[in-house]
Amino acid sequence: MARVTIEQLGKRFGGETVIDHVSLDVKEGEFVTLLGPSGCGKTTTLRIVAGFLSPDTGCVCFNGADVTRVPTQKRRLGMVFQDYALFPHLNVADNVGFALRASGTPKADIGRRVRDLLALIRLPSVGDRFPAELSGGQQQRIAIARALAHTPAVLLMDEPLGALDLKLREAMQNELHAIQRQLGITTIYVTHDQEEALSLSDRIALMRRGKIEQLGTPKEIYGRPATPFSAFFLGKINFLAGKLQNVYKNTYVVATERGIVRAPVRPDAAFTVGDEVLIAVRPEHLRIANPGARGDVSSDLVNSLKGRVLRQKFIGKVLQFEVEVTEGRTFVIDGSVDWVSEPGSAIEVTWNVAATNLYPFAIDPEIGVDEVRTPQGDPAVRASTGEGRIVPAARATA
Amino acid sequence: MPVVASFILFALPQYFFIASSFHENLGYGRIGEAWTLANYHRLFTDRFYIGALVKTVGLSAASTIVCLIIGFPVAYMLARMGTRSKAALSGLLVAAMFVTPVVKDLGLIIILSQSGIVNQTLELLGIITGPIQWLGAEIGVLIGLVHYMLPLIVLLLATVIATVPRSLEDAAHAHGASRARVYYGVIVPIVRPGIIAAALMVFNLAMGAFTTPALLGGGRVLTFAILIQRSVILDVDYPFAASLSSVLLVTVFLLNVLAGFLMVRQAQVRRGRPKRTAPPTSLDPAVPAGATAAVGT
Repeated sequence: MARVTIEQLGKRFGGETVIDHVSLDVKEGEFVTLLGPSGCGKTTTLRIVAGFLSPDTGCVCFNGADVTRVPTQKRRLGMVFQDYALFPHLNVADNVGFALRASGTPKADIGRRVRDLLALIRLPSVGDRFPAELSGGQQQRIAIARALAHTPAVLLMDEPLGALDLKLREAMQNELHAIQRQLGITTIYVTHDQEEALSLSDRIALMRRGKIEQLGTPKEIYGRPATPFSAFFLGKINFLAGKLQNVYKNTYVVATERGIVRAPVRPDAAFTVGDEVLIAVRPEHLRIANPGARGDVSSDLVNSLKGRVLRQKFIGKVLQFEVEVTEGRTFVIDGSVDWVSEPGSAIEVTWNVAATNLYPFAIDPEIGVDEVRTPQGDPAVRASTGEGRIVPAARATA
Repeated sequence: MPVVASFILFALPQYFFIASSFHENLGYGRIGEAWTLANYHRLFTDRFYIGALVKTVGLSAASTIVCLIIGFPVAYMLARMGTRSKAALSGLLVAAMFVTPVVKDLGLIIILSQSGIVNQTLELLGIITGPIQWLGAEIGVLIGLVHYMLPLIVLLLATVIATVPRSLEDAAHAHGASRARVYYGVIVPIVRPGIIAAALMVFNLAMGAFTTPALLGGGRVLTFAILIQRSVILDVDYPFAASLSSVLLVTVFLLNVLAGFLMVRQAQVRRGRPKRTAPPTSLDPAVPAGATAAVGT
């Protein structure tokens, strides 16, 4: 078990910066996930920690000792790959015992350890089978056992569940979580799957364009995303652009095209009157109210926007409403199945002021925040719903 | 149709020459009517021919092994290259493969001659005192055969090695394997069937090679192909040439069947390893007791 410190890592491939001064401190026994879209540098970072790549700048330390120049095979790693990477010419027992044989452990000890590990992953009787004879989920469990056999200092996992189907992935998540907690092994996990990251990690390092966008516990990042991208990438988010009009009793008052929206003043983000801002609110915080049904809607604690239901989508546990707030701008609302709002009906979208996040406005087509020209010719700001879908920059700005 | 066509084009000529090996030579290219085993009797009782067969097999095997030793690392590099340099190098190799052995051997004759660059360099470095007789000797033929077959084996092996996912190498490295162990413990065993197939192809080529032993052997390295040619051209003894050819054909065939058989048996041995019995034992300290029970689905 080791504490892994990476400091100011930088790597360029052919003039392109792949990772840019990434620093991360993984505590002993901690499970840290590098999360991000493809091309964000998460795999490159992992490969540098593994020693497959050497960084252009910065260093990697295990327990304070610089291992940047130590070859991979001397770093005492356990590693799990997306394609399992089991040795097809070795049977399961020899696969699991690979690291032990490489380190010259006595044969009897290897046999015992392999049996224990196969028991741990609940596949006690497959020792003399070959990887090709096992299912994908079984193969990945074998790969995990192989990575644990020599009690590695660090366990590295590169999208280990990416090749499995949904049900199996969930089961494997639980299993992985249990094994990692049991053994208390320092783990660095790479994935682009936000649910996996949320459910498995002690901390998540959300990466984008070679940098760590936000580092924190799953709750912190989900509840208080530091940037619009964090909000967009973990969970769903609705964006609306506006201009800060006033600061009033610890509340920002933002003018949008469709009226006033309030947001709480938070110590970590300060705005001044006149700033262009981006309002962000999660679908699960939104409620639908019929217009005219005046309750706490007018209160200072609740935001409300007029809208029209475009369509409703049944996705299992929730009924998702797509509501047009103004032309070309829709909000997604997670509603309950018993809400009745037929498409086309005029409603009001309400939510608690406390659930509102504000960010400085910046055009970012990738997360669905872009600028379009209105017929009048003056640039008006359009913000659409981020549904986990990345809009290609070229199309979004066209 | 294709079956008939290939029968006519392939099996029929084979039949005629094999059949002619069982007839007497009447001289001046005429073949007797009566069936006889005399040709084979002569071949198998003459130590010269048996020696030539052994020499042919030996030279072919040796050149195949040298090809593998030189070719495997090159093939590995080629297989793991970037797409562009890989395409460029493969193209060069294919081109080299299609250069006729006559041209290749002429180049080698110049390089390996008494006063050629190889002898000069070795003398200059003080490794040898007099020039080495490369040409007209087995060593020259061996070099020629290797030179002739190397591009082919590199291309064949590179194709096989490229099918080994790089993550397997990464996995081996990550779990403590040195470079050598990754090579001999992972890559070579995985591509072994491909290595054997490539080696057989190259071996068969060497068994039938004529130009290289003719040009570099200078008439002093008598492989079977050379003997067949002499028997046809110099002795005009078609039946005996046919029997030499048949023996060469059967030898190559049998060696290939043997290799295939060994390969299959090896695979069976691997599969049929005795079952390991795994009685439940107490978990060792790194795995706390009860771990299995706690791991829920």
